[in-house]
Amino acid sequence: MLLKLFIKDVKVLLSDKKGLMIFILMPIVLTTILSFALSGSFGDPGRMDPIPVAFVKAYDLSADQALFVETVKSTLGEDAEIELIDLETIFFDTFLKDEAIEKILSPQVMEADEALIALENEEVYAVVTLPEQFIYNQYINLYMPNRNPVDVLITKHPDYTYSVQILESVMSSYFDEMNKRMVGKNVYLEVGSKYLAPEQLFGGLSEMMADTAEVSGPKSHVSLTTIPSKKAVSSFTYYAIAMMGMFILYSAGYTGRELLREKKMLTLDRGVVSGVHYGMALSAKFLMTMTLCMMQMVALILFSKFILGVDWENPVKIIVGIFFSSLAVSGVGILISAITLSAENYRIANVFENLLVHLFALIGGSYIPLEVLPKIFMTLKYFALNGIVIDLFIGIYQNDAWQDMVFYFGLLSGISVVFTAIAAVIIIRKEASTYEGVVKA
Amino acid sequence: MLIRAEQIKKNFGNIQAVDGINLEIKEGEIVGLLGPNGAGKSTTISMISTLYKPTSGQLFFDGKDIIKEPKWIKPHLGYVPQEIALYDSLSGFENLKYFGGLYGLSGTELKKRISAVSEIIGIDDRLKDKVSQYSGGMKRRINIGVALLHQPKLIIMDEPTVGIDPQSRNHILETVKRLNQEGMTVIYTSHYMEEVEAICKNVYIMDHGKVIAEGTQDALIEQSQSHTSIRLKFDKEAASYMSDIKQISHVMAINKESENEISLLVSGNGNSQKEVIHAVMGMDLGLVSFDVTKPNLEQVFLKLTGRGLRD
Repeated sequence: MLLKLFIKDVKVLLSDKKGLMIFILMPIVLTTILSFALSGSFGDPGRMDPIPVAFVKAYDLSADQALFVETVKSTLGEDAEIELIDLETIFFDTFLKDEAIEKILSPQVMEADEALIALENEEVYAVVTLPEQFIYNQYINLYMPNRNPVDVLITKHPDYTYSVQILESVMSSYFDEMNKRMVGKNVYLEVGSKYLAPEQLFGGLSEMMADTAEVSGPKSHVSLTTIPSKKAVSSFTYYAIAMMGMFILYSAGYTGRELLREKKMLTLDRGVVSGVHYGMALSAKFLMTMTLCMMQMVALILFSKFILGVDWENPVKIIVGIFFSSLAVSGVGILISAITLSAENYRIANVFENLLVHLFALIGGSYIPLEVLPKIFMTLKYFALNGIVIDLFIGIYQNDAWQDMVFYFGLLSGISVVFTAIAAVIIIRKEASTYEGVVKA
Repeated sequence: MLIRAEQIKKNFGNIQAVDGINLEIKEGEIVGLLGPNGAGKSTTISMISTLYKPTSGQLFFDGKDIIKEPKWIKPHLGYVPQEIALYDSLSGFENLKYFGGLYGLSGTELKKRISAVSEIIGIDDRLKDKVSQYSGGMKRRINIGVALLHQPKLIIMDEPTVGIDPQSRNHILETVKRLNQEGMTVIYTSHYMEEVEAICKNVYIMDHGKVIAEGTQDALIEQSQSHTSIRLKFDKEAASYMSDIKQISHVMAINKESENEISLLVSGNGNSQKEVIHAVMGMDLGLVSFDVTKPNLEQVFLKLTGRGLRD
């Protein structure tokens, strides 16, 4: 009997061509669009295009140098001599042309007006304005006991927020390097002032700052490598998984309406007269949801492999992943179905499809990767079925060991068992109350 | 006795849908269950179909208690609900195959039964089409066909002809007669008195959850021989006169038949008929014609309930 109910449910499902288009084609279309649109935010190690950035010199190099020499002489006397390092060369030729930085940034020096036009035309993603007395203030910070603020202004294009965040990080790394030297200078001056004459003290500074010319890019912070044995997740991979995680929730939504629909059509009553129990009808819906969910996942994985070129490697792990994901979705689906039948209106199914699916999509990472959201989302994702499925399939894609996936299999099975048990209780009570006639059905 | 109901009641919360009715239906009968909306007909047949459990009373099928053990009736019952209980997106054939399967039919036997049933309901040439592409009448026929697949002893039809064309209605009525001739017991509920008159020998008239009259059609009409039916035709819309006419002496019940026609149930002999007609003529309401007849089943119903079947 269960098999007959299941076959009928699948036939009804397959006869709904419009519904199938939404279930199967929509995730494929969205995966394609989002993958291409956000491909710049993902990528393989070392393949990211450098971010074009304009640098505007608002300072006057020779004036800054002259001013600093004058400051030194007025402080230490006319005879004072100091060998200045070339900070402009250090910034532009040593730091920005560091091998690691060149992979990230593509700098161009421009005039202020020219830079803003380039920014508007998206020829550059940001303009870095090096302020007046940029060189002078850095000399003060490096050679004198006091410290002047150096405020660099970054003007960004609104469409390239992620790129500008990377630029900010690079600029910070430059100033971090310089700060280290300033701290060293301060220690030297404080300790040296007790033992050395001023001429000796400041003379030694030039020698100490000589290695500043070796300021280099923050390799340890921005190098583009991945954990050994982990494959990088491209936008195609990510969104194939993310959309799969989201759209299988719609399978649950579809099932959520089914029992009440059958009740209203009287086909459920007709079945009951012939000996079908509600529990049997619910079980068939469970199997039907699994079928629909599996169809969705297989379609998206095949599409991502053969059309988008996602490198799925282990078919056994994929099949097992699909099975457990479908199990959980079916549990959710029949719970909604049981509640909807019990309430005798579609409110819960509507709330699930129109509100909860989108909420889960957000907190589970189907819309945007959770890494760019506040940290709390990394915990919240475990409250969203799609979040668990996304984590599981990223692991499958990266060929994680079976033992690493047991947690997800357990979680998905748990969801299925708990939700199915609740659904069974609700449906048994509903069947009894309908037969007893607590209220007229 | 195929069906015996003893004092069955059904309450839904505070609503008493069926109030202590007794039924006795012999094997091979066609029994009509008549009553206006809310009379308790559908609830009664839902209890016989084991969809609802009676709040109290006893219900037997072929001598077996089907309240305690609904399984006794399920294999022998064909149920035709009031609405079209079919899967629209499946074909007629797929619907018949699915529901036949639920009754344990399979393979060649199922195919034979589908073939036989489609011949009975006269729809075998369109069986492969989706139900959504059928006319209302064809849907109704498949709706009946589903209940015939397992050759039940008893078939319950809850208003099976609602909203269909006269041709399909006649076909359904002929089908019911044919099934009965082949030995099937039929419980038939309807709003349409002429259908019940045409096919049912025994009739139960229900109102407000009770059986208010029962027996053969002839016996029920016999009970009403002391009454006469007068049909009045006016030259304009008649509804506005009804309350005035109802005040006339001897008028027991009044029913609107059409836009400008009403029928009256009048008590007493020929003198009282004359008095009523004189009174109507005296009211100067634009009376065009009148027709005095013996009461039919509908007028019996009118007399018993004080309202028309479709009120």
